[in-house]
Amino acid sequence: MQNGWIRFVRGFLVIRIDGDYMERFFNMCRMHDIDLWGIRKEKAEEKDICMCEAYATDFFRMPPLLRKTGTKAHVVRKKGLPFYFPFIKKRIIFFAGVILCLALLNYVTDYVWAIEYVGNLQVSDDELSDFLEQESIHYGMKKSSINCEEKEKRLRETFQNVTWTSIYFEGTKLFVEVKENEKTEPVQIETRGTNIIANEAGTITSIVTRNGVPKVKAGDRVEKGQILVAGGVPVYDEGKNIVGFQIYDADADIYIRTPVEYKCEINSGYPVMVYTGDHVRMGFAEIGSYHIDGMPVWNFIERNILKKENENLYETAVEKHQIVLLDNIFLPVYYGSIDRKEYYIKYFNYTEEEMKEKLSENFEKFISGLEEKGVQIVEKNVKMEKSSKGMELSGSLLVVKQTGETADIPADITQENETDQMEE
Amino acid sequence: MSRHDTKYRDILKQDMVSAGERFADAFSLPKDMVVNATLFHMVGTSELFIENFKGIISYTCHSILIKGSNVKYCVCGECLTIEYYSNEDMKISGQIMEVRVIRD
Repeated sequence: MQNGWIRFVRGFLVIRIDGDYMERFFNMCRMHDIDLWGIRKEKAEEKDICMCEAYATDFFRMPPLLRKTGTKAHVVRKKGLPFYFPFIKKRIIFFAGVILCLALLNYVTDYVWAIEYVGNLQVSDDELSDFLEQESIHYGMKKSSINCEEKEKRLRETFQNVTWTSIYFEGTKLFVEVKENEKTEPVQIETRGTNIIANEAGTITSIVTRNGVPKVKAGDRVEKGQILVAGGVPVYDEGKNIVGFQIYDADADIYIRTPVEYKCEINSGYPVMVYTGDHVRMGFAEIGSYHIDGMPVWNFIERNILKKENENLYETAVEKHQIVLLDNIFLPVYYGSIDRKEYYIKYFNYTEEEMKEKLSENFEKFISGLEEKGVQIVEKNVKMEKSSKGMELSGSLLVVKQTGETADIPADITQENETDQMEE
Repeated sequence: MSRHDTKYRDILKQDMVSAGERFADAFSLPKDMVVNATLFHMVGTSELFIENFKGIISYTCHSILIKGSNVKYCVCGECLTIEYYSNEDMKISGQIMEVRVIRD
């Protein structure tokens, strides 16, 4: 028995057998190695007939057998590839196109056309992209040229917090899958010895020291850069003499009352984008590095046929899609639309009321920004006046805010302190 | 040829067949090869594969009479069709009711 595909390729006929000795005809066909299949009895015009199928080439061997058995054979239908040749011949370009398309598809699926990162939380996509760039992995490269196992190893070496990685392909897409170490080890902070110094000049309102020796108290006036809490803690002997210093990282919550200056100026004229209503939307196609769209043609028509001459600007929005086959095969073919809107810049003038409103709004934003940072405003003194360009808002605020920044203890500080103590 | 001779020849033939069967059994050989027996392979009640047969004697929708060596087989059923008919084997499909052996 041969399967349907072989029968289709060889070509076969549906034959109607009519006569008294059909069984003898079948047996003789069998003796002469003529394969028959689909034999079924039917009734036609009050007569018993048989329908069967046989290879087209075997049909030419049947006449002597038909003569001997006194049966008649009529070809009812022709099936199979040899009978399609005339049909294919007429549409050769179509079939050539289909074959070419399949060949191209086979060719492009050997390359990487998309990259996706999976499972990265701490390591960003940009970092992984940079890594791939360093490893010379990019879009459009041949899949067979990427040694996945080696790159996985390199990836683990480059990112210490990546515990597991897998680089694999699905269709034309390269997947970089990573698992990161979620358990963060307790941070061992090395004590290097730091002071807390004032960020700005002002009056200390409160100080709560957790580590180190406070050098100021609430109500003291301090200058910028002055030490507020020292990291070197003196060690006394029984005679209350300093015998040494223990070095710590100073830690304290210090609040300071300090003035803050604010200035904001607004111009009376401001630019506005005015759309002319001239709106062009065009499709584009991109194959590899080749880009084609109708915009240059449209520009040419505008300048030479429509005789449009202006110096207007354009706002352009591009919508781009990549062609994907079967969800995984990303082809280097893009399509989309370019949306271009024409506009020009027009200058308007604020009225005095508008400028005041704008300045007040900006000032309110500044205040709310300070409050969000935990700054208390004690006093406000704001002045709004006209300037040459427009209007200006200036003010001075008295605020209570947290202060103090860490600074390394100078190397000679211990010695100096020791000397001071000796003099006393 | 007298009636007695015919009877004697039939008995001899029967003995030879049984001798062939005994020989096949003794040497674990396939019987279809040794005694030229027809092989039937039935799948459910709708498919029947037949090998080592001599030909078709008659074919209708309800019965197919097959010639084997020394015996005939009648496959009875409804809507019987011969799926393929080649030098080696044949396949009958349809609603098979009965496979009967008709001895000469």
